[in-house]
Amino acid sequence: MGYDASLSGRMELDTDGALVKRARDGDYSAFEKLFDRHRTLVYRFAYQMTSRRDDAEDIVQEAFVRAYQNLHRYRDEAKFTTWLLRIVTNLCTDQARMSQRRSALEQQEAAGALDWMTSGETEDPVHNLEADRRSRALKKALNALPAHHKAVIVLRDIEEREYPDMAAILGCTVGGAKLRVLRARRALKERIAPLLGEERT
Amino acid sequence: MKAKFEEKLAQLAFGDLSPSDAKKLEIEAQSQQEARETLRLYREMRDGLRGMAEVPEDQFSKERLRDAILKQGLKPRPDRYASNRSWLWMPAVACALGFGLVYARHTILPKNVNPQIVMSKKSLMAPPLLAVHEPIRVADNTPSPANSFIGPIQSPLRKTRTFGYRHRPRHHLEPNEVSPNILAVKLDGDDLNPDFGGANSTIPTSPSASDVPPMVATAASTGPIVFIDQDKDEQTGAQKATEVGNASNVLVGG
Repeated sequence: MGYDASLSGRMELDTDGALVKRARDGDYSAFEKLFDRHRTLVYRFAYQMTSRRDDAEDIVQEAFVRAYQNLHRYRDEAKFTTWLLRIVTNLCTDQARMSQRRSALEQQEAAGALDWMTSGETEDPVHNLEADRRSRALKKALNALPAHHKAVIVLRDIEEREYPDMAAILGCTVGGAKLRVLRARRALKERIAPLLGEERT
Repeated sequence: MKAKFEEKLAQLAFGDLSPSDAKKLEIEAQSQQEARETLRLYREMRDGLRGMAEVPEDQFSKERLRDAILKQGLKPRPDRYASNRSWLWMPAVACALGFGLVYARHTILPKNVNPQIVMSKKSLMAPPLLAVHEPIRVADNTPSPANSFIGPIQSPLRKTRTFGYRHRPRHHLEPNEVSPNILAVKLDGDDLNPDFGGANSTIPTSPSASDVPPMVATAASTGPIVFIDQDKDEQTGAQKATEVGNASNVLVGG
């Protein structure tokens, strides 16, 4: 009984809300715990949005700095990860707008480098080539999407988040989130279809 | 292909439909070449996107984060109680401004402001339209504070119509004080006070208005007109008010 109570009390101390409260009170180690707990989640999303590791790491850093500076604005009714992902989404959208000036060649090189790392799952070289071609086309199409469509695709179809969670991150209703997903998928399909057609010819 | 049908195909490909709906739509899609192609494309997209879930390992550290936070500078933690009380300055400033305005109005402005227009028999030079926006006070032969005030309801005298000149600030009247804004009054024939003696009677006004310089007034209507004279009544020492027939008898302007 006493063991259970102490365990539950310890678990309560380790919840995101409790850590945020401690961090607000000046306990920086509590914030570091939050960072350790959620950095992978944030990094994954940032990487999918930027397709570059260094950009993704910069976004992670900026997201946690902003989170720390704005901890007083965090409302306990929302999940901390939701709030954090909302910050990251905004940062990625801003970064995507700024990086439009970046040359397309640079992005293609980054995508190509990743292809070398991720392709080659099976022994069949023909299958590998085909998978490589599709993957490249998909990445190209995804990178060509506007940031708001891309964020939706990453959240739903890559990170496989539920619609209510997405709605909280995107700041819309569940129905709105579903509608955005439909639109984003259609936009992606319209971009990928000609790419696959080109490569076939 | 209809957009709605394509949306359904996308939902089918990404597993967002219920099993029964998915089965029905799958059968329907197999019968159409275009729908089959679209469904295949969406399924390829789904598989490709799920394959992109792998990301390279990050090289992030707590030290880097700490440096970044320290480099950007920590914002001071806002005092939540202070921020909750921050609205208090607004009503305080509003009250102070209101008090200041009222105080300034009573101290800076002279109590007896020069009249804008005063009627006189001697000189008839006035703008054609008059503004009367103060209660009318007329002293009778036995002036007293009780009956010297004739408000807009109880008085048989009515204000002339106002077509402008509402630029003088209000000030409170003392008993037996004639409002300097009283310039012209119009008497309706059916509610004339018999005490005033009917047409062309003289009504002495309050003596306190004797320092008002003679100016001009005129009436904008054809009804009876009362002139407030500069000359004092011999018996009461107050100014006289004389009723004339109507405005057609009055020379208006310089």
